[in-house]
Amino acid sequence: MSQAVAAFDPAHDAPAHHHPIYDYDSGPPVHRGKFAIWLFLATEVMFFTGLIGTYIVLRMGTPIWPDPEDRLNVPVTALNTFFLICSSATMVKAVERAMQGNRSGLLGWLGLTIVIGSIFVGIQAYEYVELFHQGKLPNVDIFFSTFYAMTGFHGAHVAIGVLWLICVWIAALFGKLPQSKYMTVELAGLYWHFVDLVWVLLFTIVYLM
Amino acid sequence: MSAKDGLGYSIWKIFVALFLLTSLEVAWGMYLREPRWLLWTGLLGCALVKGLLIFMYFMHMKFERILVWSLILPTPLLIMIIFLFIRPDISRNSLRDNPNGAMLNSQGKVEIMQREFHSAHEAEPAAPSAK
Repeated sequence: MSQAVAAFDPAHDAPAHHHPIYDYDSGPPVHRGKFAIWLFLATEVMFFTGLIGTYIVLRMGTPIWPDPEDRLNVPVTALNTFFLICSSATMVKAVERAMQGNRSGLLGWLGLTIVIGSIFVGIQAYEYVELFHQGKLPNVDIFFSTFYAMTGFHGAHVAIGVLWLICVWIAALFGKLPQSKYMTVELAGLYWHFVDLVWVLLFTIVYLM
Repeated sequence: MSAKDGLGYSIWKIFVALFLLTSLEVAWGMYLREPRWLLWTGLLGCALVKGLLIFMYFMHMKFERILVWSLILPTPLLIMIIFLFIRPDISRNSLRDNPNGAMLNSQGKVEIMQREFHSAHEAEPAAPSAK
């Protein structure tokens, strides 16, 4: 291919109305999707840094901060954290199967990731309902307003991630994701792992410290 | 199950490390809350190690090219800039004369704020001294 293009001299070989053909790619030397998703994730890092930074300012400026375990259901959320870590592992297996062109393996591991991710969202919704029933609303005090802001934005990210994975799963089901298009799965996986990474930090800061 | 999967590392080793670190964190955070400096240092250390494992292996950054690294490398610098900006706003109320703060009431007199939260691990507050 490269030799054929090099042998092609536009000045002699191409008719005057043809555009010249260049033997290089003007894009970045990585997959465009990967380039884009990492730029997007960099902005997401700054988004959550803003939230956590605000939390630190408010927490240090508040006279007495309650122990999280007095107000939140830490064991249930610890179980939820475990679920999210499991979903990251199953996502890695899904990407691996996509790279191998193993459609049934991709469907299985991706489907498992979707189920576990949905369980995470469901348990978080259950936690919110329980807190609402106890009158622990976002406007009660600064502890709950920061708690709902951080876990709420993260929960929304997980919910969007589940919807994204469902779209990828449906595409795989209809045979739209052959081995050559494994990057579609990997990009969704990068977002999913990022959401997991953010939760690892949030769980420690909000529920344990 | 092979020791190394097709992605160049053993995913299950990383998974077990993440599981053990999370278990350690939860046990530490629920049962060993004193001294606080050790609790905070230990928990943040565990969280950072877990985050690094996910970043390097699950997100495959250990095997990525310099261009992908260059996309994410500016963010630690930006995070430091954000924290330098907010540093003056991080107060230490426990070091003040009135740790709970004070405010002007409707009569224009200084009113010392009462303690609002009562942690199970802390003693009852002393009555605020009149100034």
